[in-house]
Formats: sequence, structure tokens, C-alpha cells
Amino acid sequence: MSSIAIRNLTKSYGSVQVLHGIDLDIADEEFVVLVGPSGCGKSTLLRMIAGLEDITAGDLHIDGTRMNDVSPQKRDLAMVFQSYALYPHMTVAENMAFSLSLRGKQKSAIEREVGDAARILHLEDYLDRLPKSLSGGQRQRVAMGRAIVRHPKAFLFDEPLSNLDAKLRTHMRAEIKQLHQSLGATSVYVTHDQIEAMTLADRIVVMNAGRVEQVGTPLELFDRPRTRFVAGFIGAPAMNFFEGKVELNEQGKPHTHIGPSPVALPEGMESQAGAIVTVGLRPQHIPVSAASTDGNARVELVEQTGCETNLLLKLAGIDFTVQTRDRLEVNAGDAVNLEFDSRNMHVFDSNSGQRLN
Amino acid sequence: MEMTQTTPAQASRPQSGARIGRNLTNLVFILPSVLLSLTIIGYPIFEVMRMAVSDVNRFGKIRGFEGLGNFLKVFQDPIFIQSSYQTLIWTVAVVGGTVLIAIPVAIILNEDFHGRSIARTIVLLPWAVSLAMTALVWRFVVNGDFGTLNLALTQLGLPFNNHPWLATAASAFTIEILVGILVSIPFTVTIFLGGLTSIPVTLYEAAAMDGATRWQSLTRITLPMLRPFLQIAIVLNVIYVFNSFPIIWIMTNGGPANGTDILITYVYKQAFAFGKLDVAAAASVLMFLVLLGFSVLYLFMTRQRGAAGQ
Repeated sequence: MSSIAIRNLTKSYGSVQVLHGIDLDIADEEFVVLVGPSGCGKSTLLRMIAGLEDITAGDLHIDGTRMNDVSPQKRDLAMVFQSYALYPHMTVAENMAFSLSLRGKQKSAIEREVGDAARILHLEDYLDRLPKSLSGGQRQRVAMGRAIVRHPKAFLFDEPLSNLDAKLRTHMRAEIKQLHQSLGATSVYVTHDQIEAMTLADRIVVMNAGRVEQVGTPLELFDRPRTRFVAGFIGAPAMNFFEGKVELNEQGKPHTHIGPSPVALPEGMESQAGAIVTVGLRPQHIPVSAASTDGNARVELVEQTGCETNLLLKLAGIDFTVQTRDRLEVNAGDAVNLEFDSRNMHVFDSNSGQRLN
Repeated sequence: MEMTQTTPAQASRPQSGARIGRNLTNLVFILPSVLLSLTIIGYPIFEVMRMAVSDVNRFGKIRGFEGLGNFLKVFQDPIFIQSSYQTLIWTVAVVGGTVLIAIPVAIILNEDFHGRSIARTIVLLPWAVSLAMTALVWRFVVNGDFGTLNLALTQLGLPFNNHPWLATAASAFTIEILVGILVSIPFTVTIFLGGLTSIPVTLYEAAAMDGATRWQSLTRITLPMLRPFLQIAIVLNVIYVFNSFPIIWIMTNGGPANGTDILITYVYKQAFAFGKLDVAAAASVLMFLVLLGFSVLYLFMTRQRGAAGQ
């Protein structure tokens, strides 16, 4: 197992630059998830680590060795593809044995490795089948098995679960996590699904438009997103945002307005009076209570998920989503009261998107 | 138990009714072409079979029933035996040579390189020229007295001044086989290119990650996955090449001394040079049976592929 170091990595296709100076250190045995919207460059970055894409500029080191000009065959990394990329003319056992047989390993050793992997992944009964006669989940397992048998320096996952249905995805997510815990293999995992990122990662790398927005543990990203983009990307339902001008009251405490009503802002912000800021509040952090007629917000839509209730509301013309565990007796059109607690607020500079508190 | 047995039957009844209706509609649509085929293809086949068991004069008039007599005459004709043997060589050599050349050509044309579309056009170009024209041009090229081949070889200092390439059966047949390969390549390359594009790029990426060199990718991914296309290319080419008439007829007329005759030129000569329409018909029926075998094989293979694709 091994560490991966990425220094000022750049990728251009002709004159179009898609990755702008990426810096990232992945420690031995760490599970790092690259997450971001489509086109943010996360898959390109993974493929550059794999050696399937050329590196335009910058350095890639694996275990301290510069890998820029090393072919994918010699990097000793295993990759699980979104399409699984199983060899359709080979059985499950042959698929898993392929890399070992290329290396000229002994037949008995190959059989042992494939048998071990099949046992871990519950594929023993399918070893003689062709990929086309397997279900999506089984194919996914074979793709994992093909990676496991090699004991590579690191595992690379390119959206491996996105072709599965929701239930199977949750199940395989847990299996991948358990597999990582038992094998302790350095893993780089690409996904656009922030739930997958949160649940799997030791550390998450949030990418946007070819840049790294923030690197941190799942809870760091959730609790203290460094940019407005990360705040909006991590967490479900997505964070609520409203814009306002910073004003100071007589005691010098900052506040702003939503419509006519003043809202206190967190103290100790790096901003001047008069600055335009974007305030973010998670749906879980806005207490809501049913109101008779004097409520400040109006319910537009009620979504019951069983455990939680999501309310889509309008307050002074601004959309808010609020999530509560209370069983509120409210319907669309009813008035409710929302409270804003400055301790839960994430304040960002409206121009740069950088965190201010 | 009874319930579970009757339920699916009841459920499938309206569905199978709809299927019959759909099949009927399909039948109506293909009926015109079926009728056309029966007239244009079916009638001659029937007529040839009738002539094969009859005594026919040189003007095509049936004089009486001959039974298997015509077939006996065919099998007793040493030239028929020789032509059969030469047909085997012709078919195996042309099809084999075509496939062996077409695979690397298709693989190269499938690579992404500068000028690929021009190269593809050049390879596919012979397809656009009629077989008769191609054969005629090559007859001129290898002509002993004024052919460009001898001119080129002589200018290279080689002793081929006035070398009569088509005067001996061995060299004439070799040249005809080479021309046969040349004209079969475009079609075959097209089949293989279709096969190659159907292989997903991620398979090669996965193989690269698994440590496969380019050569190992070729032998362990590309070629095995081309196999169904290879089978189809072989069978279709056998069907086309087996009774390909123009190249041999135009270049050598089956000569010298029947040395380049294949079954199709043998049949042609029997019918239109010697006026033995009945013997020609009997030989035609034999050829028809061979090709029928290959056609059934082709149908079987494409069916199997379709079933596997599901």
C-alpha cells in the first residue's frame, strides 16, 4: 500500500484547461473521495492518477516515485470503472485472474487468489459464468474482485455505483466501506453523489470547475464549509441561502434583514458594515413552529419522508427548505414561524464566495 | 396447483393473439418481395433442377427423363474433378488470404491517426469498381508483352522481359488469387471495422490497468472479441468467392488447359461452349448444394449471435 502526492497538476485539451493546478496528498490506507458536479474534472484527475490521461503539467508521485511518464501498466494501480468494463468473453474467474495471468503467476497461486476474492465478495457460485448472465450488483462485485486479487498499491474507483438502483447502491456502499476497513487499501473514489462521499470518505475533496474547493473530513465539510459552493454541495436537502447587507446596531453587533425583519448575524465576522454577504442555514438548523395567523413564513409544499418532514416555504419572497423531526400539523398555504439562530449560520462573501465567520 | 398452471396460459392468450396479428401484418408487408424472389430466383432454381435430371439438347429443349445420368457424367469427367480441386484451392486461398490481410488492416484503420479517413477511403475504393473492370486492368498489368508489371520488374533490373505470367497455370492461378484477395478486402475490412468499433474503449483501459501490453490487449481482448465477426466474414466470403466468375473468366477463361478452371467456369463452358446444358445443370445443382450448406451455416451463426446478444 502506498501514498499519492499530487503537485500543481494541470490538464489541458488543446487550449481548454480543465484542471487548474491541483494539490493533494493522499496518505497510505486513506480513503479519499473526489466529489463535485459533472464536468468539474474529478474523473479526469482520477484518470491522470491511473495513467489513462496524460499530465499536462505538474507532478504525480506514488510512494515517492514520480509517475508522470510511467505507463498505466506499470503503475500497479487497480481501477473499478463505472461501466465495470468486464471482459465479456471471459468467465468471472477468468476476469479476476486476467491481471495475474498476465504477470505469469502460477496457476495454483492464481486459483487461490481468485478463490479468496470470490469468498470475500460472495461470488463463489458464479465463477464459471459469463458477465452477461450476471446482475448489475454481481458485475460490480466482479469488477471489485478483479481489483482485489492484485493487491495493488491503490484502488481507483470511477463512479462505481452509479449504474445500480438506489437500494443496491446503499448496500454496495457499505460493502466497499467494509472492504476498505478489512484490506486497508489506499483508495481514491470519484462520485457526484455527496451522500456517497460523506459515508465513504476519510477525507473528501470537493472540486468545482477544475479546482479544489476544499479538502476535509466529512464533518469538517458539513460543519464549516470554506466556500459557498461547498456549503451548497454538501448536505441534503441543500443549504438555504439568502443575501443581505451587513448593518451594525448600537452595541456594534452585526445584523441584516430578511424583508422587513432584522436577523442577527454571527459575531466576529471578517466583514465591514455595508458589505453584501450570503447567509447559509441548513434545513435542519431552522426551528419551525406552527403559527395561527402571525407566522412569518408560508408553507408551499409538505414532503413527508416518514422520519422527517421537509417543508418548502416562502419568507419575504425567498425560498427556504426546512427539515424537522416534529410531526407538524401543517398544510400548503398555512403560516408558520421560522427562527434564525446566528450560531448555526454560515456567512460568505457574496462576491468571492469565501467564508467570513 | 391447477390455479398456477392455468393462470399463465390465460395471461399469455391475448398476448399470443396479438403476436399472430403482428406476424400476419409483417407477412403482408414482405409478400411482394417474397413473390418477386420466387419468380426471379425460385423459378430458375426449379428449372435448373428439372434440366439436371433430364436429357436436354443444346437449345434448351427437354427431350426426356435422364434420372441421375447427368450427375454420373459430371463425376466421370476428369475436368470436373480437377475444377473441384481448383475451386477448393481458389476458395481457401482467397478467403484465407483476405482474412489474414483484412484483420491487421482493419486494426490499423481503427486506430486514431492523421489521415485515417483518407486511408479508409483508399482501402474501400476497390469496392466501387466492378469485378470485371478490375480483372481487365490486371490482365493488362500482367500482360507479357506490354504489361506494366514486366516493365517495372525489368527497370528494376530483374529478368522478366516478356515473361508470360498468364501462360502457365501456376502463375496465372496465383495472380488470379491475389486479385481475388484484393477485391475481397474492402468488404471484409468493413466487417472487421464494425466488429472493432463494437469493442468498448474501457475494456482496453481496464486491460491496461490490469497490466496488459498492447500486444496482450490485441491477442487477449481484440482477437477473441472479433471471433464472431471472423466467422461471419469467412462464411460470407466463401459464399461470394466460391462462385465468383468474372476474375478467372476475364483473365484466363479457365485456361491454360483448364489449369485455372473452377466449378463456375466449368459450368459456363459446359453450357455455352459445349452445349451440354443438362450436364451443366447437374454441376450447378451440386454447387447449389454446397452453397446452401454455407448459407445455412451463416443463418445459424447469425441467429446464434442474435440470441447471445439478448
